[in-house]
Amino acid sequence: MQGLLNIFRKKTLVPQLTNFDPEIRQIADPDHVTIPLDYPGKVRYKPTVKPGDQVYKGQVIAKSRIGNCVCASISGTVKEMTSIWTAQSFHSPAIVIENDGNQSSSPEKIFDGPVDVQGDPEAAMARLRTAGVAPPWSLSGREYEKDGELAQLPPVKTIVITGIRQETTILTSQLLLEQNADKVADGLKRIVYLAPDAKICLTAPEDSRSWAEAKFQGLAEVEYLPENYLGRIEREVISRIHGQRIPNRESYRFHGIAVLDVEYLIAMVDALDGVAPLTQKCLTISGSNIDRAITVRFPLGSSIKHVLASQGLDISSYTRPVVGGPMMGFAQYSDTTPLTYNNGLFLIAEDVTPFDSMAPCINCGRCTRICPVDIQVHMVNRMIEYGQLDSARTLHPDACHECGLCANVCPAERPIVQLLHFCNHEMVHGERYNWITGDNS
Amino acid sequence: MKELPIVNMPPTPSKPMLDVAVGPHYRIGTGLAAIYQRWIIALIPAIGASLYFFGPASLRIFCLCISFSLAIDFIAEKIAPSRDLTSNWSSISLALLLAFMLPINAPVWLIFLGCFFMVIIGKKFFGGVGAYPAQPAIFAVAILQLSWPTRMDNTGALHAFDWPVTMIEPLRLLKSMGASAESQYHWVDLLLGRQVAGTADGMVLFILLGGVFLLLMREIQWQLPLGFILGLLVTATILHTTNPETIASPMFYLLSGGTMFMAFFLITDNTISPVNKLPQFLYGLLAGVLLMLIRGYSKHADGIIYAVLLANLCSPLLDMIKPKVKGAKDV
Repeated sequence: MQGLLNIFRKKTLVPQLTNFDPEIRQIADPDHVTIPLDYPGKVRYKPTVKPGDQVYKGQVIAKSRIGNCVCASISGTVKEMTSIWTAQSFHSPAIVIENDGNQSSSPEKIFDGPVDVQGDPEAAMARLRTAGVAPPWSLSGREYEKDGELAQLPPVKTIVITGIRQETTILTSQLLLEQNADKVADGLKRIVYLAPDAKICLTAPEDSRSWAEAKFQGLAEVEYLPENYLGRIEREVISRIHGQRIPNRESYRFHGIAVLDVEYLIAMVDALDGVAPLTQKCLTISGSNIDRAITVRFPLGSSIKHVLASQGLDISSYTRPVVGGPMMGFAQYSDTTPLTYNNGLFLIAEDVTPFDSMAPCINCGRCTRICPVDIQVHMVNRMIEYGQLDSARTLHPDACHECGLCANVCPAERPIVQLLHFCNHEMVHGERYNWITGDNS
Repeated sequence: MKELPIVNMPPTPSKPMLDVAVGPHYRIGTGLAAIYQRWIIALIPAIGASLYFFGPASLRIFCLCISFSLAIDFIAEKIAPSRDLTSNWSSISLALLLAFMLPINAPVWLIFLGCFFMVIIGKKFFGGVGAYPAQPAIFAVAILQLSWPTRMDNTGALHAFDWPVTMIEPLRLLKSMGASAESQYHWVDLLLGRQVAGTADGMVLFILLGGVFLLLMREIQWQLPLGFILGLLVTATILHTTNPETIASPMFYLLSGGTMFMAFFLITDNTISPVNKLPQFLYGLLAGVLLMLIRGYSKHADGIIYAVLLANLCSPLLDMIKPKVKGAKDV
């Protein structure tokens, strides 16, 4: 009987994590890290070390033109300058550091004590830049808008701190928000001085309403987001908070919005206190054969292989490691890809049916009805398929977030997102988390 | 800043055969075959009822229809390859819909011609499944009815069956006798399918069961049948009150002939129905009003063929009622 009812039950659009380990596990340092220097959003760093140099954990190894820094995540020797494909398929120069086994991190070598944000915002900003956590309103992204010219950006009016990620398989932000609520509240108090006159918002999971209301009272406007993916799509949420829609091709920052993850807010507090620079990142591992989703904290630049091995997982039992979430993540061709500012690792063991580029659209309209921005997907995707790009553009495919829901529900398994992407080839990618980098999750 | 040279290629992965794919990496789409298989499952109650009532005669119709459709579809695919593969089950689903509307004594050549018109002209000429502008099964029945009206006569087909009900098509008797014909039929008979109709399109209750299955599986949207039934009932009520001599009560129209079949299986076909919710409702409403007007004021007894064809033509127009795209730049 139950099985019969299940047939008629509405299918879950995206995998829901019902069982997860709330503990964030610390991963040991790998034998080498690869730290990319180019990030989406035209963020570029110039190395300040050369091969053969000895670096310590937290040392600045690359600097951008306006002084934002990248820190070494392990101590060791700079082995080489190389170039890699990042997890988001960006080709980027990178620094490889070989571990020398020195585990100790000594904040006093890097920082000279805490900085008072209220008294000296300038010094605080300089500290954040040195620690690798320069906030998005300090020109961290798109600083090289044109060669030789710094981008002119409007002042920040809204700061959105994401306490919950849009992908349902990524738990980093909500676990950190829950476990470090005091620190987050502390950080919220401090960013007021860094960005005066800005409205501060915090997104949080629906089930945290009971405690978050009192905790962040007067510090931030808390926006509670539902369990499902549809209600969490980030551009939708940001537009709702901001009260005005931001075209997909434009960065939030151009509209006076700064979006940052709770994880960076905590890193910011640490940097201002002189405790530690940003050398580590959290990541949720979920997917096939993983009964309880694992959240780990790894040194920046560790490879997928290292992260998996530390949890007793083996890449050979999987067919497709996806960095990010199942909907907007990037499948990796190799497990040596370094993980940097990525939030999730979704592992697929079984064969996912490939997209059927041959299948005809039967006009069932599931795509159009699920579309969060009301694009007439059933029309647009066929117009693009038959090369009628001009008529397709009159139906505004440029509003597409590439959230993936249309291709998710398509019974013909057509590559709808790719068709729309083909039409919007100028669309800015990886701009979603315009912090130091972008992560589409 | 000086670009760093690409000094070495990406390192070789430790597992060579990783799946390079584009997102989304999690999909609930099942393939086209599953969609049409669900339609076929939804047709099973009515098929069963038809087999129970008519026995081998209806089995013959179903088998011939499916075999001819499949064969024609397969040959057409060999001659002119298209993306509408025979393996997507759509021709079987359409063949069953066609079989439902054929008379029980349809000769082999008529069935063959019906399948030919349906698959070749109705479907393949327009580009296969997903591209046809009118429901192919209805298109085929329209051709057959216009070309061989005597062969498509359900009343003649069922004269050999001795049921304890009036053995004339309810709507035909209504046409000739006026509203008094309504008293000749009992609503339970009509509901259970003991009425003169095509092979299976009069099995009202069983078609309703299949329709509910499709609704529960979310294969069809509730706006379509609801709009249709509302349109039919409202129009019939108006006509009945203004003209009680010739127009029967609304419920009679709802239960007789292929009304339910049209509500759940003909106007709801994915390809020829609108996509957005309001247009779907309007499309259903339009089909209902058209059907009632044809039944009331034309020489056709059961007007489902023309009502569906006319409604199909309005479908693209109705789909121009669409929500404004959120976040679109002004062009």
